[in-house]
Formats: sequence, structure tokens, C-alpha cells
Amino acid sequence: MEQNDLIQKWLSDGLNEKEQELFDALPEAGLYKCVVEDAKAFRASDAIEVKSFEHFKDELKGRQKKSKLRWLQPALRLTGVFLLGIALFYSLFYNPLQQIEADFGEKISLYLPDQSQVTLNAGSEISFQKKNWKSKRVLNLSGEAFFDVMKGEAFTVKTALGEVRVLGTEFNIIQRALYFEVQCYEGQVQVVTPNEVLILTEGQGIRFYQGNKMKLSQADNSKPQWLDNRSSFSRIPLLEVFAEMERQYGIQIELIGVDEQTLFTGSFAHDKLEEALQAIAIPMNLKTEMINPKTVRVGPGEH
Amino acid sequence: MKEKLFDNVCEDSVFEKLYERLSKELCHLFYYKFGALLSPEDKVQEAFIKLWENCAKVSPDKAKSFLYTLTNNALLNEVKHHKVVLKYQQLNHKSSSNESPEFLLEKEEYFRKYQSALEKLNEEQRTAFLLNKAEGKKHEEIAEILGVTRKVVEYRIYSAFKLLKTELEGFNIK
Repeated sequence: MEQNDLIQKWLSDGLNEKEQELFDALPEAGLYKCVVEDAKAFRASDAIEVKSFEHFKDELKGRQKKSKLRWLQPALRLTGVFLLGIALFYSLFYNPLQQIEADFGEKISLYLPDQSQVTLNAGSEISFQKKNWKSKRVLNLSGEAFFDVMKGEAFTVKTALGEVRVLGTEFNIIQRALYFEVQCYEGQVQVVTPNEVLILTEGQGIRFYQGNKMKLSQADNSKPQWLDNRSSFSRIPLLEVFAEMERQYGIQIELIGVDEQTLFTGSFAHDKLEEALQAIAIPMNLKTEMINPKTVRVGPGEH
Repeated sequence: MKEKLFDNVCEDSVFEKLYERLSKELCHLFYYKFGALLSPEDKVQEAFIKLWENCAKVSPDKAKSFLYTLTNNALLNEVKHHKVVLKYQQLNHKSSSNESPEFLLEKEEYFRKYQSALEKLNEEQRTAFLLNKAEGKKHEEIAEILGVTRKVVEYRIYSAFKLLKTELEGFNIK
């Protein structure tokens, strides 16, 4: 007990001379002194390096640079929201025009979003808005197309020369330069031109040529012949007949010394040019000549 | 007392003085407390950065406890996964030139034992003992640093010493 008190005092540097002698006389005084002395070997300043204020300031600067970039995060967030907004806007309101075009010598058949079927004849084009198609069935046509319309909302085909409105039916529309023709194969269609509104019922057809209206005879087919790769004409000027041939075969036809307005009734096939040319040339008494694979010259035949 | 003029530590000069005054003390304190593996100097620096970021909310006389708490918490979070490791430096003894290999070996063994004994102490004992005997701080200073009474400091040093001497009994390196 005495000894412990002595040690305690010694640890607090509180020994007087006499007590110091007593302490030194302890058998383990040497070890005690060692233990206390050698504690210095564990000095923190030898083991770790306290960072200087300069170092601290550098570190802080590094942090602040990072923290300066903090504005970036909300900015990025805003950009994100903005982009999302644009995406939303486009998905809700942006309504790109679908455009489908049948090139020369080509026919395209497609289904509209409501399963109505459109068949485009060569050199024709339609465009429509895919979105909301079922509630707003409107399409633009340039050229010739056959429609098989599913029942539903009003179905409108707009062309440069007039509109055709139906509820569900089959009909064919031709709109070429000066020439607009609608043939109804099933149901009823309404034809709207700048001057008048007409209703066509099954089998009826109407043609406007250079402003002249002409009723077409009852169609004896359930669909236009061009769907079977055959162009059929009834009292059509030669100009239009050859124009159709150009579209079907993708060729150039030069008419030299031929009355373009002569009316033609008949048909030609879409698969053999030679026969097609003959189908027109023989009844009309014309002479045809292949100048090159892409060009045909048509002149008056010999009498 | 001059610092009382400021009610926060945002002023550069105030902050620098705080840093100069406290960084070393805190580093050493936490080294004794937790050892070197947790790099207490980094944690202290981290605490100073936090202090700077929150300078407007901290008055100069609260700065120390702010730093102490932050560093302590940061170290406590990690201390579970590490054991305390204190490094020791060879002290230059006068007779170092003509020490026999056996003696050097025993000395090496002794310091290793000393090291593990220190690690066995609880942090309160170790901190008080090393602040006193390694750092050379007076009992009053330690009491102030640790926020305890002088008596408590003395008791901690004494109990640390008792454990150390028991661990190191039998060595005779002098």
C-alpha cells in the first residue's frame, strides 16, 4: 500500500527527497523508470504528421472546387425535367406524318391502324397521321389507290381535286393532274369537289376531266382491275393512258404526231411491255418503236 | 478572450488561429486514443473542413468541442473494425553503439511487448498516460483537454502504469 502510494506520487512528480530515496530503493524501480521513460517512444508526433494550415487550405480549395460544381447537379436535374417535358410533349402532341409512296412500276398494299386496307397504284402517294387514326381517319392522296375501309368514324380521303368521304366501303380513287375519278365498289361514298357534293352507291363511279363531269358505267368487277395487274380504261384520252403506262413500267413514252386527246377504251397488262404497247397501238392504229429499254416512241400508224 | 469578439469562426484569422492551436492537440489526442491505423490526422482535418463549412453556426469557444465530437464520432465509426496500433520509435540510448545483438533483440522484444500492452489499455488510460509520459503534458493540461478532473487524470495514469509494469515485468534492459 505504501509502495502504491509512492508510485502514484512518483507518477505525479510529487516525491520529496526522502520519498525519492525510498522509491529508488524499490527492487523494480529500474523497470518503472524504463516504462515511464520509454513511453516517449510512442510519441504521437513521431508517428503521425499533423497537417499544416496550408495543407488544410489546399484541401479546402479542392473541396470548394467540387462544391462549386454543385450548381451542376440542380442544373442537370432541370435539364432532365426539361428533356422529359420535351419527350412527353412529342409523345403526346407531336404527330408525324406517315408518308407512303409507290414508285413507278410498283404497287403497295398496306393496312392503316384501323385495319382498313389501302392499295397504292404505281406512282402514287398517301400521307396520314398515325396517331389518333381511329378517331380521325383522314389521309391525303396523290395518284391512284383502292380503299377497303373498315366501319367506324368518317373516313376522308383528300386529294388536290376533291375529297371523298365514307363510313365503310370499298372504292377506288384516281387523281392525276387534270383527272379525278372515284369508283365505288361497296357501300356508299361521298365525293366533295370545290363545286359540288355527290353521293355514289355501289357500282357507281364518277370522273372529272378538265372540269367536265362524267358518270361512269356500272362497274362489273368487285374491285379495280389494276389490283390484278391490269389497267383498264373507258373513254380515256390517250395522254392519260400512256401516262399510266409510263407509271406502270417506269419508262418514257414520246408521242409524236399522235392526237393525245383521242379517247381509248380497253386495257393493258402490267407485266409485258411489248404486249401492253400492242394492246393500245393496234386498236388506235399507232406505231410503236423501242428507242432504248427505257424509252418508247409512239407515232401514227400506216393507213 | 480576444476571440470573444467574434461570434463565429468564419473570419480567416480566427480560423487559422484555431487550427494552429487545436489541430496538433487533437491529432495527438486521437492518436493516443485510437492509434495510427485510422489515420486520426485525416479525421481531424475532415472535422476542420466541416467546421469551416459550418463556421457561421459555431462560436470560437464551441469550436473545440465541435471538432472533438466530429473527430471522435468519425473514429468511433471505424474503430470497431480495427485494433489500436501505436507506432514506436527507437529511442536513442547513450549506450546504443556497443549493444550486443542479444541485447538489441531483447530490446526489440521489450518494445513489442510495450506496444501490445499499450493496446491492451482502455482508451482512457492510454490517452492520459501517453499525453503525460510521451507528450510531456502536465496533469492539469490533460484534465483540461479531456474535460475531466485532475484526480481522474492521475488515477488513469496510475492504473495505466500498473497494467504496463505488470505486462513488462521481467525485462531488464538497463
